[in-house]
Amino acid sequence: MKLPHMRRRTRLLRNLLLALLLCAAAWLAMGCPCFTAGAAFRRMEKQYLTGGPAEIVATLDARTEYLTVGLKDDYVLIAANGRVSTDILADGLLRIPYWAPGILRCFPRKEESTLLFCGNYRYDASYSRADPVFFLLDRHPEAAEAEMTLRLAGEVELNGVSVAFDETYSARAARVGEGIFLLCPPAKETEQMSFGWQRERAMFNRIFGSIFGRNDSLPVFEAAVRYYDAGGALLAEERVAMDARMI
Amino acid sequence: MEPRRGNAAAADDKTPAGAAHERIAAWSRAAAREIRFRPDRKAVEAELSAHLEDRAQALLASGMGEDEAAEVSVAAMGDAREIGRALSRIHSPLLGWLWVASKWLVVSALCFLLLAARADWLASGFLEGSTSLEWSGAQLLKLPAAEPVRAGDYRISVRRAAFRNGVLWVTVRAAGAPWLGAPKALASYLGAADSLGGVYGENTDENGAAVRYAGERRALFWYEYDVTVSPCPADAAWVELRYDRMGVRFALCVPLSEGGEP
Repeated sequence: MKLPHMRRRTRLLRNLLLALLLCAAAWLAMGCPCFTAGAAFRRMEKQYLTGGPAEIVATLDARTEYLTVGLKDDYVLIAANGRVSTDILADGLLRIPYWAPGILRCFPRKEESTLLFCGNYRYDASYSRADPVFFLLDRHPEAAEAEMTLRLAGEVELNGVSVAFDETYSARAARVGEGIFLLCPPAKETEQMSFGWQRERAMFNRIFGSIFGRNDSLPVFEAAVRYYDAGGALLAEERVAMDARMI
Repeated sequence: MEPRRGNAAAADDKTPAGAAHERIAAWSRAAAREIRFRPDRKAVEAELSAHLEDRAQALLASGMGEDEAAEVSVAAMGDAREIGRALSRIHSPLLGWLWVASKWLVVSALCFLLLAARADWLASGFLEGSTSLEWSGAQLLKLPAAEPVRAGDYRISVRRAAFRNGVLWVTVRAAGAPWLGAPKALASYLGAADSLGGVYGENTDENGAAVRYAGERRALFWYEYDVTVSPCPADAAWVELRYDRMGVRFALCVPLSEGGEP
């Protein structure tokens, strides 16, 4: 069958269109990956039927994952997207990085300051292991820094042994977006001021695992936060709510 | 431009040969050399040669000598450089190189598609799924021709339902664009209510009345979830699947008997 003769300009357009279609088919074959963390967050919003786009207020690069925090009037959305590199050709000769939609955690938003635990992530290059990530949701837009004290008391099973604990920790928090603080990772020199991630991490993870897993044996939980302005002056001091129940 | 073979090839005894052929080739080469887009030169040269040799062959047939026929043909074409410059305007280098690039683009895109399809992405891909429901042998319920309900970017509908031994089996389909992916919250947050006032919770209740996830399938434009609603009273006229979370709310009715719509 003889194809109709086409002018070079027409053939050029045909080829461009064909290449575009082939690329679209390849993207489809790849499972329609997202190429930015923001796009992955927006797609997850649709997948989780959140009823409209949230305002993205903070992002946290946790190496292999990317935490994105979105605020709506009634909800807080925290997405963990995996940053994936897929080798098209062996030995990384052709590698395509993209964002895989992961987990979207939805919390009800409250009037008071709220502590949100969103899992363990490696969000600091100096850490060899993943650490708990806490976001503090606030209603003090003028606050530049915050300090939180947290008292935990109860009993937890560690390696088959029941351990009673009653500890009070403190941690500083830095603003990462409008309406949201990230509890700072403990610097080595100020370890004693921190939540004690290094020493108490296993217990901490277990405790918050219990809370997160809706375990019945919840520990005593008391938390308070002090907000400071940019000059270091105390703005407010209030109790912190922690509703680990996601919706 | 495709090279054209003249009738000269079919008539060896009358083909301009030797010096005549060389004269035609030299003229064609000189004209083609004026074309700035090099990849086109060979094809243009072949086209011009074929044309001139056809013309010379016609002159040969009329009784003219070989050398004279070649000379007359070439002379009729005019100045080789002038013709070449005119052809050069048609064979623009910009358009030419763009066309060459577009060919490589198509080849690259095709290779990329084949590699992408070969990768594990498709292995977990479309038209697959699992279900623990045994639809074969179950008597399907007659569903009303209802319009799908809208939930976000998905269109939700009940594809099929069966009722057996106090368990209602339902396949819920969420149709949407291929790039949307699975509606992850759908199966997890479905509740139900029946016409007798019974309420069925989400997956969490193992022993009581509950809507439970039982499997899923997917294709390019839709996802299907199988859920069971149990224990369902046999005298209920209908069961309504309900979703109400984060401001998104819809209900899908499954009549258990003829005319059993709420």
